Amino acid sequence: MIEVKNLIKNYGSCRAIDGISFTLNKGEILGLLGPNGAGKTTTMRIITGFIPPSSGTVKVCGYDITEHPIQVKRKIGYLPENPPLYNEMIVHKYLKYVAELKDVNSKKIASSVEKVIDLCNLGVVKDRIVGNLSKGFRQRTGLAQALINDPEILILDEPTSGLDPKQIIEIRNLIKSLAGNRTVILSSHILPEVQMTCESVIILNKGKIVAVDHQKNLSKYLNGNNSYEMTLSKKISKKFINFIKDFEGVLDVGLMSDKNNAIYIDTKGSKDIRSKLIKSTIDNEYEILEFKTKDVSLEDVFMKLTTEEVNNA
Amino acid sequence: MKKSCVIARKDFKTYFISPIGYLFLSSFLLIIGFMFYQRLIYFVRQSLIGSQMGQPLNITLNDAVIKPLYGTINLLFLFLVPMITMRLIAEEKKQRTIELLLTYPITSTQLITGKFLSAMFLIALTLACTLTYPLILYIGGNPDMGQIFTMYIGLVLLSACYVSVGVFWSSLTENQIIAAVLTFVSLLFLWIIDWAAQNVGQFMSSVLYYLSIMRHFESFGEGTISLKDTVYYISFCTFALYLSYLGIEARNWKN
Repeated sequence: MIEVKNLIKNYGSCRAIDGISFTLNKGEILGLLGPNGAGKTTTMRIITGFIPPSSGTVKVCGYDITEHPIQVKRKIGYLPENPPLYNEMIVHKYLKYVAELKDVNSKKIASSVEKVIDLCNLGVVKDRIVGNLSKGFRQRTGLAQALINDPEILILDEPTSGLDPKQIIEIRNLIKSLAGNRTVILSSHILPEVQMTCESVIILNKGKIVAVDHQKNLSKYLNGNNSYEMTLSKKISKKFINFIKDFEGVLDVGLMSDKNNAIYIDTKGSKDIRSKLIKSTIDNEYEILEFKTKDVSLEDVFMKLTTEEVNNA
Repeated sequence: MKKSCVIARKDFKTYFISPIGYLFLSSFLLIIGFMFYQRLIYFVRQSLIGSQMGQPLNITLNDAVIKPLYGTINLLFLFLVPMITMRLIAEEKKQRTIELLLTYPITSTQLITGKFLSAMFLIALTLACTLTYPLILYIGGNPDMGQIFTMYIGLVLLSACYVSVGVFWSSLTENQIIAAVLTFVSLLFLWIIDWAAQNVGQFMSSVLYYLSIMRHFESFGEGTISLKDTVYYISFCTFALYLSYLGIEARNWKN
């Protein structure tokens, strides 16, 4: 569906993206993840045909973006970050205008506008001026204009940035419900968002892909280790810490910072020491107040991958 | 063409959402109305004096009223057209709405044509409002309607050139003031370029006369439609719009 090969984009002497390649099949949701300035927006702008790549090719449904821009643009719905809308227009008139520009059959324009207004829950604001809308409604209007021609591909640049938590959840659910048989590319620097909505993830840093994966597998980038945290009833002695350190499979043990009754234990993923650990803690006359397994979140993977990159550089 | 019309219609309406369209129309009509009245009074007084003295009138209605009036329209367009063209593309760039516009299935040519037409619609509306003056003259006098007709043709062509220059500058910047100033300056320069003609050689002076945007209006003012001048205006306009097209496409050249 989307085929990106060796994409490079230079802004003057600054290389914004550096050799990005990926392919995306019909119906997949891809998350582009990366810190600010990683090249997410640039990648999206190239795929949508707003700016040309310095080198490399983008093919959408078999059409090359530089050779057949119109055919490609017909298939794409694009929501830029902080969607730029015509502030002086009325919501439904704006959507009608976009529909006309996007080759929606003139007989279907009215029904398409109705449909996206329904879909994006814009009913209450459809007669209001775009400039007066709240951030959440602006975002939905932006989404509505992207959806108006029922595109096969949706490209959403930070669709939830600047929204309040309730609106974030609403937009996220909306995107999920839209996915269906559409191919979606979504960028974000918010990890839970990608974790919740995307099937596969590309992590970008400084214009390069630092990781590509199905998001469930990403955690394996942390070498598959497990971490635990344990809070006990009294001060933990050094002797006890050293005692645990000698367990098979334990990599590191130490007091949690600014607490003398809590420790962390990092272990190899292949070895489950939990029952042994708890048993020996009780044997040493400690009471366990709290024991938890620290889930390796996408955040950790992300931090690890992006800071590694910095260290290597 | 259909999409150009969609863009033109939307931008034309935008003139009347903001005060710009009303301001343009009202300030234009105020000055033209004043001008028309003064010229008319002058002509009436002249003909009164003439009839009292028993001398034949040595000035026609067209020379006394129509020609100065359309000269003023011309001058006013020079000042006011930058006001209506400055926002056309510059505003899209400033608000970044151009990012969405250029990811829609439309070509740069359609975009430029649409922008150009939207300003031309407003010009057409303005010129239509001035039709009342010849009408008044027609009711009360005996003006040369043919000459008036060719002047309108000339004005449409001339203002198309003004607008195309405005679209061009607007496509290069995201600052409306810069677009307006540059439009005004380049139009004024094209207006007075033949002043230099007296100080240069014969060949250069004929080139400068040819370039002068105002010289080509003269034949329309005389009541003729000259092919040479029509070709000049149309090619001028096409060239300026082509430059605007390049202005939009320029984003594809970087690096």
